[in-house]
Amino acid sequence: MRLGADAIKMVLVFGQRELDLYAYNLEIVATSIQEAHRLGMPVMLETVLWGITSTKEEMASVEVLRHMMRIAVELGADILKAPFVGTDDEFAEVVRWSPVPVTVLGGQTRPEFDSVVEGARRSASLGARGIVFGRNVWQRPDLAAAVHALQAAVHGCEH
Amino acid sequence: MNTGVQIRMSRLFNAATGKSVIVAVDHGIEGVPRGLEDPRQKVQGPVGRPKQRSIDGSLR
Repeated sequence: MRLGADAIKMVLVFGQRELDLYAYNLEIVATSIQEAHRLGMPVMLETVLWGITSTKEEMASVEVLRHMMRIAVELGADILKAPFVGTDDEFAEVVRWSPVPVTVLGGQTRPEFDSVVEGARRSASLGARGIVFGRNVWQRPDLAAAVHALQAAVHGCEH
Repeated sequence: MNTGVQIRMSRLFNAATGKSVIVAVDHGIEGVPRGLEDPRQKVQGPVGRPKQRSIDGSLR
């Protein structure tokens, strides 16, 4: 807070083999959210399937995403960061279901920036409240142009 | 939602569109990634200080 942050971001890791580790992650996130809220600080929670038992099918599953998001919301997350999963209709339904804003992650850098911008526009038009992109922005040669293109796509959509 | 959270949330989402563009200046799980060798220099380029600040501490 002394540095002027407007939020903190944490990760909730699913698919771990060791349940003690999972429980520890839940506890740390839950207590951190409580403390952040006590200080008036919002928390963005990213639900990830980084555990060793995670499968490709689970990573592409709307139901699994919704399950993880539900847990994140119940822990007190103010903003969710999630991958774009499923069809447009399925993703839009998940976003509508969420009681807190859903933002979409960027993932690995894609070679074609046009597809990155289109993905941002598509997510926003389906109801996502924004994007949280990293590598797909700062690994571009022209950072300013990348940011401006994404701002136009997200803020210019009609949803 | 308490007042502090509300105020800070309003800084993250554009009042007119209700949407947000956040650049996550971090990717800590793979060491120092290409493009973020000097994060301070990276964000002090033509973009300048963004209106909607990144929530990531590496900017500081």
